Amino acid sequence: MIAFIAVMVEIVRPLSAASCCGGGASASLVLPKFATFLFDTSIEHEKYNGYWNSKGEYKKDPPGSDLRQLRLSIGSAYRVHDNIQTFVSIPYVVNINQYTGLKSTTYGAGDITLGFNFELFNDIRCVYRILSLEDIWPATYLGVKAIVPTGISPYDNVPNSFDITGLGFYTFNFSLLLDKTIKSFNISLAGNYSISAQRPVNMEYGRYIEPYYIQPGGKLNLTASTGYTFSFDSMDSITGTLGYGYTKEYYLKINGIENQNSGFLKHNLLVGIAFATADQNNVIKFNNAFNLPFTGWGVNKPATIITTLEYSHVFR
Amino acid sequence: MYFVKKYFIYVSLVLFLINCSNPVPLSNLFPDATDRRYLNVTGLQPGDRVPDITFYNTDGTTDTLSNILTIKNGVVIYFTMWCIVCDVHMSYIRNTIKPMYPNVEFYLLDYVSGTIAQALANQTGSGYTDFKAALDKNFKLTDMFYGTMSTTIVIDKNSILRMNEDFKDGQRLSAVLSVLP
Repeated sequence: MIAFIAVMVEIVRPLSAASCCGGGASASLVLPKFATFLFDTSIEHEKYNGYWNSKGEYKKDPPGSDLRQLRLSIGSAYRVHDNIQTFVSIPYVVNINQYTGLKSTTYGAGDITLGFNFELFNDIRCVYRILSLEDIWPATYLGVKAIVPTGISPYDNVPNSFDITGLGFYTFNFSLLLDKTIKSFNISLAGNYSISAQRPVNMEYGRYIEPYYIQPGGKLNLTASTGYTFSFDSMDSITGTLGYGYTKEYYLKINGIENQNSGFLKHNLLVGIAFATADQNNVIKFNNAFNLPFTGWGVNKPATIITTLEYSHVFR
Repeated sequence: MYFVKKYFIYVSLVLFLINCSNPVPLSNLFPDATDRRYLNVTGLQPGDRVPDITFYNTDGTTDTLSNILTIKNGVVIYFTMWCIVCDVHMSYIRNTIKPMYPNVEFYLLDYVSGTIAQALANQTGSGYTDFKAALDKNFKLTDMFYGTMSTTIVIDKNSILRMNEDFKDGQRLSAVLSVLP
């Protein structure tokens, strides 16, 4: 059950995964309670599937388009205190694009993510039955992480927004995660808010421009997921998960002035399955996060299908 | 195990950063505000006279810059690849800028599609049939203006280039159009 918490946390992660006109940043890694070290590796495949314009209307990509991003990540989490853990995730990004008359394959480092998670609980919060009020209390995590712009951004020598591997900003993210497992059922609620630092820009899409300062708007991400775990006689287990995510980015600022044509909104859905060995030290996850390609499910944002295969190993 | 725990992160980070075939760009880690436009290798600059341009319209017709300027006060050319970033810009032009300047011709220049038919399909699919759109045949205008995604060009009635830069938030485009002779 200990690893189950980690499974659920990880399962909500594609809902906030990076996307087109960005990409490359990895999400948080969470170490199970009492474990000391976690190694994680994953491969994510993101397929672009049209977009929502500024009116929220869904538009298909031009005929013959095929835009994909592959993200290979390795990461680890390490316990530095009974209730504090630190993590780092390092992605490598490959873009494979066919867009009307353009065809390109680009690759490079993504944006590194590193941070801390603080556990606001001292014992395992998974219970088999509710006997007291305390049994209802969820595992609660407060998180803070930084995204370091090690990827290739629109402000580098790239011809268009499809070839980038990172966002180009130092971003700081603050999160709250509530996770509760009762017998085989689990529910997980997460919220996080990101703030990016202002930066100067003197190049866009491979062309030097008049320098200016830009700061992305704050980004709010809310997710909810629920899962059910089936245990085999061997005590190996399989967990199925359904999730929903809501992401809203507020107006960016150019030279300190809000650009009211910016920002985006997106709704996500997720299905996932995870296999854990009996000792809970090895977990394999397969997730699919996707958007419904209909008007009203997003604004100013590409629709994507993200498929993730991930392996985690926990050292006790 | 001890080695893995202690050195895994450091080794990974070092390998990641040096990454010989495609090193991590430092421009994002240490961004600076130095104006380096003088390093742009080609492209007409504001103040230059623009030679007569032929527009290969998506409706199958052609226009020339000189002909357009006999009836219009200026021409705006927006380099589009019909992506979502372009859509945000084009939507802003449609809703905010274009109605204020009825005497200016606004062109969406498709510099990625190989054929007129493909450019028309992209224009129609993106919902911009109320604009004039043209295909940049043989990348002639891309080379002339050193254009790229969201490059915005303003040419005045005397064929003088008034603006050649990225769209950003549209404020510069509005400012340039407001002082056209």
